[in-house]
Amino acid sequence: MSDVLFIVESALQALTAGLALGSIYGLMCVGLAVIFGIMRVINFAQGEFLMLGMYFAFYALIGTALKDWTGSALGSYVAVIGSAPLFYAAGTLIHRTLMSRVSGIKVLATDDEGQSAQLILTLGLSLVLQNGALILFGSAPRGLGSSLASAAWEVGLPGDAGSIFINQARAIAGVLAVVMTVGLALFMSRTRLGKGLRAAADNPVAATYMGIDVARCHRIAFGLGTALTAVAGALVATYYPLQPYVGLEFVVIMYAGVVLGGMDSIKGAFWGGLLIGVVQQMSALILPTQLQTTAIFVIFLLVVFFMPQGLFGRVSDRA
Amino acid sequence: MLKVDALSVTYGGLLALDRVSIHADEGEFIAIVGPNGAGKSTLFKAISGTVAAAHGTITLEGADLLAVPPPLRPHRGIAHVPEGRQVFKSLSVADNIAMGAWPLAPQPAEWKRTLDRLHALFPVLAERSDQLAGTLSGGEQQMLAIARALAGKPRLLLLDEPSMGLSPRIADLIFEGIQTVHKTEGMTVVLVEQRAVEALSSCNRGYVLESGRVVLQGSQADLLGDDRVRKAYLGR
Repeated sequence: MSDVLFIVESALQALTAGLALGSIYGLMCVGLAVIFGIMRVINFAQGEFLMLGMYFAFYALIGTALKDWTGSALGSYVAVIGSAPLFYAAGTLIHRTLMSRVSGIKVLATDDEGQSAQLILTLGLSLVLQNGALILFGSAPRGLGSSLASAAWEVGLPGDAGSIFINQARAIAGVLAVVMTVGLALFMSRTRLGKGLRAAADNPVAATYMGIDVARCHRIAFGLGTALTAVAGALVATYYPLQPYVGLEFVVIMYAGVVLGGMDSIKGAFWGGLLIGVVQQMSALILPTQLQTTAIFVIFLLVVFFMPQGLFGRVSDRA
Repeated sequence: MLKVDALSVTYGGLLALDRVSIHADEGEFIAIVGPNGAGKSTLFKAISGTVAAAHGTITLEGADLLAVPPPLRPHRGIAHVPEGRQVFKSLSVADNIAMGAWPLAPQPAEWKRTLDRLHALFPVLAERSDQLAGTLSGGEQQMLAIARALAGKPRLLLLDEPSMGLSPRIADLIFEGIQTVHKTEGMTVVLVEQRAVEALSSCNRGYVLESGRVVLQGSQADLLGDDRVRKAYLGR
């Protein structure tokens, strides 16, 4: 095989791996963007929601009889689907008991729009969840042991260009992430409640004049953001080992992806996450593995430098 | 219909409204005029619940309005067109209007009739249906804000400075639209304006608000004939 064909093969291999991984990153970013976009709250506990989603998948599969009925492959996706309603409920509960005290219309009039209190609360929540997980689950890395994590589809390339391998667990997780994101986008753009959430995000006072309950919108947004992030975590768990600090590995990707996409665009957050996944995998072709994160931040700085509003941020409004 | 009785509102110790009493009967057109900072917008915000009342009562059709949580007040038939228009800039014109009907959640057939009616009132909104509201001109945004309020078929319409920042020609268009709506739909209208001539010439009754107090009230003829009003607001 010639060198050129080898390069094409490697590039396609990295691209497909990047698209699958990037779609999962995209879903995480969307989880963060829903919360920020609607509530204007930067949630520092985002990585821990992801970690808890992973542990939920682990215990749902290993701790129950689920694995015996379905096998580890199918069972892990049952756990993924199960995590959504559970974490939605958990998110709305956290909003009702904690977040609603430091966010919403009433903090808009305060000096820093409640941001210090939000930072302290979500950062505190992050530490409590991290160390709580350490106490409850222990520090030993675990895995779902899904048979798909080490299985791959081989796709032959035309001619004698060789073939690429697609990791089954990552590919399925990527497809499910895309499905979730498209579902959310349709919900936000087509349904009455979705439009109400956008109105509440755009102008909470005017939304109140319409009869929209902004506090309820924020509760739904926090529930959705928590659920999407936890689902992304459960998807990650199908191919990646989990430990209580695993959220830290992904939280930087989430913030970078959301900033790349433009802070208040849900669509943009997905593309931001996808871009990071692709850059991370493609950069492995030319850079040592240790420098993958560096490549992400080079792209990040370039985008922020040339397009400070992000790839999908609004440039300006007419008054 | 609407009765505000001895309402006081304070902002961090400052008295913004001082025992203000106004009322509007069913189907009336009330104008509230006064200089900047007189508390006109604060009065509307107290009715809508985005500022808290320190003292006094507000009743709507005999029911205590202050006991109703703010997001539920529009469900009682109040629509508030806020100062500065406050359209949802990142939503399309069509979605903005739809948000105004939030309490009604109308069926598609009924909604189409409402939309046709609003488009007949402000045809430019039909042309710009799919455009983002943030890209509209000031006058168009004002029309949108009014159409959005009307979409909820309110029985009480609160209009806060609808002519603000608009050219006289566009402002006239807006005032015309408001008068048409009041005539055809017969809801109660309370209009707050700095442009006293236009406001007073369309109203049944009016109030003059200065430094948080009602300093003058009366019928349209009373106010237009009052020397103080003529000097201070009508410039003649």
